[in-house]
Amino acid sequence: MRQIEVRKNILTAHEQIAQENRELFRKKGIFVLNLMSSPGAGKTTLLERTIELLKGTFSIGVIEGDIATSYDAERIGAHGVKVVQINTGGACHLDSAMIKKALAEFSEMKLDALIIENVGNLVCPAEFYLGEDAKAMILSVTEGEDKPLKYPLMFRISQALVINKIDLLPYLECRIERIVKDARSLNLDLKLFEISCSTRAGLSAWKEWLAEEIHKKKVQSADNE
Amino acid sequence: MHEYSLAQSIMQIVFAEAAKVSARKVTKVTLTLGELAGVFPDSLSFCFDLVTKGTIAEGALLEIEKVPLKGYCPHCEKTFFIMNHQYLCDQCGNGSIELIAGRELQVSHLEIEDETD
Repeated sequence: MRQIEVRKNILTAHEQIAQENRELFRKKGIFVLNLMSSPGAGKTTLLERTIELLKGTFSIGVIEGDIATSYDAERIGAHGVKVVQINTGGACHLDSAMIKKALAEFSEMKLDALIIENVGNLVCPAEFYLGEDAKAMILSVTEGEDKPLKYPLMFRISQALVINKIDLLPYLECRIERIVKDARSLNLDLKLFEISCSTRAGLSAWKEWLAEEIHKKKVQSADNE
Repeated sequence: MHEYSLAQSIMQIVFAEAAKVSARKVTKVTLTLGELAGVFPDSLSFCFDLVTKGTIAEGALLEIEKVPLKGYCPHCEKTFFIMNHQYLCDQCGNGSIELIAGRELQVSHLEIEDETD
């Protein structure tokens, strides 16, 4: 009996595919956003508002992830953008293999941005890299000010946090300052947006951030050629 | 962390390394797991036993070396343990800290039996 040294990182098959996805997005200069939140926090509505604001400037594609139904794809499709619905049939998150398969439906298009709306879940999507450029998460004020420290990984690995439904604050005991303080203690560089998709408050800052990221990706991709 | 998928990936590495040295049997697999990997050791052991059934690693002991989350503060020039996911220097409260340990997810070493054993 003897010992052999290995020291190999456990790179799962999904991470390898995610790296392939990432390489494809880099080559084509497509900015990819992975949008995550609990069910009902407002992902699809935020996505609708985002498309309204950006589709005049950029060519946007959407991948919708749900366990079942194509409700979300139908809502997005009504805005005139190309959308692909993935039904996981039970899986609690999208993974890179599902994304790779869906990408085939966009192959004829020249996209500036691809937004992936993940399955509603504040836990598992944080663990599965899809090949995206940025992760944005939504916490709506009705979910409770204590959520950042209860779900640290999701807040830690996101680049942007949208605090949504701020128009409801007068009816709640939710303190945004606590959400901001706790989220920042997990992730100092987190970009924060306070938004109401109903009143459209805060949407222009969100739009500007996205537009800048889409533009940056294009420039990077052109530089590398 | 989805332990079954992780166990499968670990097994791929174990088989590849065992084949390199023509091992007859694998008796122990040692993993280095950082705190941030978010792995639940009991679940992983359970899944590991499932995926090794009928293989040269059947019955192998899964040993886990845990690595706690450690940060380095460039202002204070000191390292410290990160507690309760608070990514702030415990001396000066600075949030721009470097994560220097705790993200490891690695097969560290194996214990094997050769053909001649």
